[in-house]
Amino acid sequence: MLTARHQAARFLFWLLAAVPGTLLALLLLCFGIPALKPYLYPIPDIAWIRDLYRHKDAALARIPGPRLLLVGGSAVHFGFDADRITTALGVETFNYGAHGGLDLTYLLDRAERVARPGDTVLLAIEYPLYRTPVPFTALPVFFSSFHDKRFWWRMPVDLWLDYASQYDPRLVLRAAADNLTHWKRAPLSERPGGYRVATIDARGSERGASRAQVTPRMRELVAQDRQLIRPLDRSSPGSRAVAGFVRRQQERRVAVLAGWPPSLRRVEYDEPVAYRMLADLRSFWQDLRVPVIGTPDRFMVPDEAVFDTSFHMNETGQAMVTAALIEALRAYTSQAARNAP
Amino acid sequence: MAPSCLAGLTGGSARLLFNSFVFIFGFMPLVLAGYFALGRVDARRAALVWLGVASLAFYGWGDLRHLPLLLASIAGNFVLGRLMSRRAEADRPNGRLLALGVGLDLAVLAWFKYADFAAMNLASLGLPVRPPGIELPVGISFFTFTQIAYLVDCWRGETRRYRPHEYFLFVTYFPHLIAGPILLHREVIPQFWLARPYRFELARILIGLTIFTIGLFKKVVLADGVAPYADRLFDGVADGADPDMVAAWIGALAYTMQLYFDFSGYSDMAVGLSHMLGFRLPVNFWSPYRAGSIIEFWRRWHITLSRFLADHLYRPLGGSRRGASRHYLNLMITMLLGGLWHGAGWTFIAWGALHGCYLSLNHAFRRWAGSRPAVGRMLQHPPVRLLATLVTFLAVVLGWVLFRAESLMDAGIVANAMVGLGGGEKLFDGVGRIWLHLLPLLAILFFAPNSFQIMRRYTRYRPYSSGRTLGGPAAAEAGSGTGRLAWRMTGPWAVVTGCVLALALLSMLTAQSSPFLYFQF
Repeated sequence: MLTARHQAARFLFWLLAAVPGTLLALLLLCFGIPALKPYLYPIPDIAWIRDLYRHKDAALARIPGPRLLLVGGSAVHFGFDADRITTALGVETFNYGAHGGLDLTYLLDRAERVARPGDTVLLAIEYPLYRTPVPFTALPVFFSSFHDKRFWWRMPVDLWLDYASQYDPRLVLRAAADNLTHWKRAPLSERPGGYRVATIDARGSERGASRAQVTPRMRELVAQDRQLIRPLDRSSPGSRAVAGFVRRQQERRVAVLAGWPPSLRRVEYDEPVAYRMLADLRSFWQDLRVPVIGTPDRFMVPDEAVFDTSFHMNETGQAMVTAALIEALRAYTSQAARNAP
Repeated sequence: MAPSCLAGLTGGSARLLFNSFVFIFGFMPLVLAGYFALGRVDARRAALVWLGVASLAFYGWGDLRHLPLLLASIAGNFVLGRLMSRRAEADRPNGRLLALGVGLDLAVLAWFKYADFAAMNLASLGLPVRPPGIELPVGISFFTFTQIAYLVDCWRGETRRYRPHEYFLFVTYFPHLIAGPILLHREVIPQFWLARPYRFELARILIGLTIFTIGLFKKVVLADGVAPYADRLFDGVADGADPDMVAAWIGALAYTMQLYFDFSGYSDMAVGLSHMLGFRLPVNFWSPYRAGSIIEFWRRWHITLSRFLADHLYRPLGGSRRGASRHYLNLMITMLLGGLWHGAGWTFIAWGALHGCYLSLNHAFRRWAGSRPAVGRMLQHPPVRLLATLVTFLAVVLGWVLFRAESLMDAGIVANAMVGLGGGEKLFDGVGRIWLHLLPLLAILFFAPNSFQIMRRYTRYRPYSSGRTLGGPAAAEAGSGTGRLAWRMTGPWAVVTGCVLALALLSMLTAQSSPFLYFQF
């Protein structure tokens, strides 16, 4: 018969063993069993992102430099027609836009990996990405865990905790629940979503967002997609990621330009806070010594030019914002030529 | 802006939270170590002072602005209480001193909590008043009520001569300081005089740690897990959305669960912490959503507030002793003020009024049924009891809609949507998954034993039974000593406790520490 003290000591031993044991078991469950991985973060976009980067990296490698890389989230991917820009300006242009949910830390790291000295990177970042409160949301963490482990090792040490903090057991539980309720379509992360890689051309531009495909439901979702606009917070993880990226590119002789994300012209952009945010952005770029190309309103389009979200252009919108970018780049290059010594 | 996990490491917001790494791995072990070290050399007074200083550090962590207010409030109430106790011992009247003390306490509370609200309402009437923009000191409602109860007992001559450090610790005692439970001096200060709390007992600490772990799990996994659904609904409505029926029910039920798991989780953590230190705090929740009537609900929900309101408002007003009409009026007044205590806003007042109506109706029904034995017998039948529990739960959910909504109009929109009269806006994707999340939690609410029932083999926590709550004597559920889910100090239970703790810690790491809902009240 154990004494109370021994009983308590034994309990404490098992308790202290159980805490790391549970964490280890979860880790093994999440990342040790490859077959389980697709079940863990069941958003249909994850397979699209994987294939998108594979496609774009391969296509970009074939393009000789110096190049103009258009970088940002899906606003860039759906927005700009790199082929047309190449033809119009005679500069090798590539659309390296991906998925805004990946957050700036990840998106910019991918851009940094492919940009070469002598290239020019044009950043056209969706406004909400500047105010993301964390450097990583779950999507880049899960995506890189499955498909891009290189990102782990490239990450600055001070971000490791943030990165680890996104391994949320609730997400795993949610994923389990998802798979339970949709078991016939599992694994969900391999389920084809609305986007396809087959419609991406050799310069990374989207060719599959036709106006004819826009459904009333898409229109409804776009109408509901209210934008929450806040003044720019320069200490936010997004802003800091941009500043760090610009500094590093300037050091390695990659020129950086700032553009504006293609977007639906929403009433929210007429509010005073939006004017302030846009002015803040201009001054932010100015302080980073990054030239700003064009004006934001030139990249805002009417309802009929968007696809399925406020930031996704259909073919009409793509033509509009591409023309605006060509015009802005021409103005910038002629200005730069005039200012040259 | 602080990164998410660093926010957790530093307490999220500036305030030190129970659900932060700094508290769990820094503050708590340090306090326990200091306390037991002093206890070991039999320096009990020093141990109490140590706890008092730790409590001040806890309160002032990251924001010292309101510390002087807390100290002044303690000093003022202690001096007045002493004066009253002396006069009571000499059989001299001290009603004026009581009026002065309670008046001052309420004036301070009114200034910090209600001045903005009053000014805004006056301004909306066209008067040239500008809201002063006062920031609410955390825990002011709790430490004010705790001290008002103390003053009333001094006036009644029911206090003993406490030493300043004992009174100081009674008010500032960090497990209860900012979100209750609302303590009575007679149930806490005498525990300071016992020898046992100061002795290091591993078993006691492990039991306290287990209660704390259950509370932590309730807060960071269960409450914070459903919070996004509630926020999605109520923030959406505040932004102009007009939800469909499914969205309204998801959001309303999510908030119902969030509030319970959040607040009862905090209370469990407070009890667990206190248990480690060797002191017992009163139970604040006893499976409230299992109540078969609103009267029973108030025996089980925020029991220490219900007890305070019953002792210091409802009964002095006459309680049920002056006829039915007066009884209902007293209930209404008590609940209106109870609602206002929760916050300066019309939604809180409306919530109080709604519960005043509920209680009045329930008491009226009981009066009617009391003279009809057949009705009484029928109410005991399990299916009727089940129906009564369901009706009570729905009534409470409706109340929480008022409680959570930004305005009465928003509450109306949600309530309309709940009965199918909403605008039909879908606010949630993957509704099946959300129900799969909510249903197990509902099952926990209705069928799982509460924290103290789980711990019943080792420690006998019972709802307050020597006094009265707004629903009469607090709940003492039959069968609280039976059932299979009873924690034991064995290896398998250690593993279960460890798993629960690991999941809670992991959740803390993966989400920004969110403050407890009741901090704002």
